[in-house]
Amino acid sequence: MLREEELSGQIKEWITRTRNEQNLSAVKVDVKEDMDLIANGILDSIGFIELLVYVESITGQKIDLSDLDPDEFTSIKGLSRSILIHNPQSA
Amino acid sequence: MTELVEIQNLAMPGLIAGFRNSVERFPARPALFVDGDYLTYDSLGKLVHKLAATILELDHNQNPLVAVLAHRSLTAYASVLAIQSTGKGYVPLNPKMPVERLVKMLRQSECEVLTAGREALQTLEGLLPRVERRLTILLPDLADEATLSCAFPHHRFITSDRMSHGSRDLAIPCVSPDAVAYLLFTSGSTGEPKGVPVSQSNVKSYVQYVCDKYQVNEHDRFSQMFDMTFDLSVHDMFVCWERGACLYSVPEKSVMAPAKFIKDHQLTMWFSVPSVVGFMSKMGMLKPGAFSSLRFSLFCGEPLPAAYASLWQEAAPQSVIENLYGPTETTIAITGFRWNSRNSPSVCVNGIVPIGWVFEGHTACVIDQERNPVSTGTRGELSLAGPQVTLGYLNNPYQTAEQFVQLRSYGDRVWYRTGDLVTQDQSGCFYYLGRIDHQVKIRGYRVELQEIDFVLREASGSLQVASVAWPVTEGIADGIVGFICGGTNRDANAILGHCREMLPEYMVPRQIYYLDDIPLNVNGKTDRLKLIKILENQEA
Repeated sequence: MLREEELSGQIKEWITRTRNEQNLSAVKVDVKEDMDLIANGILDSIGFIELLVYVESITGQKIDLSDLDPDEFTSIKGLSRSILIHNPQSA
Repeated sequence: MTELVEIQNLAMPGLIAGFRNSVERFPARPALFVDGDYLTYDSLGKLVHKLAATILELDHNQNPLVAVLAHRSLTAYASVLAIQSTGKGYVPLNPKMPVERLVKMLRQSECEVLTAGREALQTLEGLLPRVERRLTILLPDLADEATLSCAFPHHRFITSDRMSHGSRDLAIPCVSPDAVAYLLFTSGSTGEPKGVPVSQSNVKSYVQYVCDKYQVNEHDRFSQMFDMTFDLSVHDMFVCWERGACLYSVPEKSVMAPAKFIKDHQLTMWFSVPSVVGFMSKMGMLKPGAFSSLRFSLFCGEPLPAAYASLWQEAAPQSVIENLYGPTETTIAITGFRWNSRNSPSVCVNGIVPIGWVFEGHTACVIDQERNPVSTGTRGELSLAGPQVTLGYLNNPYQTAEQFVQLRSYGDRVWYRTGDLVTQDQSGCFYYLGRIDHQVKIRGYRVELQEIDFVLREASGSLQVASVAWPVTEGIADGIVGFICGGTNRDANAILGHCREMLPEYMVPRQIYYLDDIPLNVNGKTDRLKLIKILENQEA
């Protein structure tokens, strides 16, 4: 029974943790919830896929972004919303 | 006099003839969709004409190459066409690449004229102070050059208001078959990118063959996924425009997740690296029947896992799927395998789709270490000969002699040794098994691990460094990780910072590990397999 804010919080935490593991912490970025993660170089394409795998593991649902423009799901807020709207089972 | 006649006989209409014919035949049809706008053949043709006339007026030194610093913009596509219209070759420079690398490419290509798009202005400002040679820079997106001229008085800037009006009639250029159509750079093991000039006759041979093979027509809608520094983009552009079809430039943000773009534009011709299928699958984008508009789906640039071919076939049920294979040195693609959901899975080796049969008019053979042909079914290095095989590397006679060779029992024919390990079956079908050296592919980009090692050494001050492709999903490498050992006082952040300044994004390690010793194999060389074992154990 995840809410959007909870999911956003977990995603943000995951991003911070992975960036530290990948020695990216020196490049200081304040990751905002509506910031485009890919355009701003916070995640690369593989990093984004790893994020989706993580999100699947916490929601227990397969992700479906098939009818969306990437603009709609490449920010923390957008991704949380897309997942909860398009995968209502996890909500 | 005799000599002159011979040259005239040899000269042929340039690659641009296809586009120019389409402008004549289909003036009102769409030629290009980019940044949300459509351009008809007529309007794109007019813009190209203006740019080409400007280049011809500027270039007093008759330099055969012009650089393009632009990315997924109208200026990028129009520049490529304009340069072809002058009979010259283009050198694509990706504004996303580190300035350091762009400087090397510009220096090697000896270009004096460069066109730049709006999206590349920041890169241009970083690049110009580093270029000693006086450049003439065409800026079709800018109306005023005063600021740039002030900042860089050494260079010359031509903005839109100072371009030719294009009133002069431009004939389709007659070119020598060996004239360079484009110059691309691939990763070299010494830290210096390796230039591959591809000739007009190389590309024309490919374009003609492929247009017929896929019955390309003016109703087709082509995907344009590849960066211009990747030769598969030449297929997108020139196969599409040869027959009056429309090219859909996939916006940067959609390259990783293009499902909606394919559906919105009802694309008919798809061409991408297989990794994209993996990304899309993870995002739940490969629903059965999702891409019913696709007629052909082509994959190239890295091994195609059978699992990806099956997934794509379900998503694009009307589409014929082909796995293409070809190094830059043999022009875009030179072998192909047509996927069949029923029979193909059983012929895959290690879950990888065969690379298939060599294109008509070409010859392929498998050789051993002594460069003798091996018998059918034996593994060896794939070597290729024929009209798509290029003439060698730019100003690099040593590498050229290494890779472009004559083989005993084949007379004086020149073969390109691919470095790819294959076997061939009785029917002539080739199966890709791996590399004979340390080259890996990341999202289709060729990467020499030694080039990364070279930069890691510079960055860390340690001589004992190594890089490997990791992680690997379905037989495709996702990224690079680096290993450093011995004393280094530089932390991973500083090392990676240096890598980002020197290497394109896909070559920068995603992580750095520190080891006490680099494992060596029996020959005293870095044992990369053992390094991969370390990573596997860590994951387990």
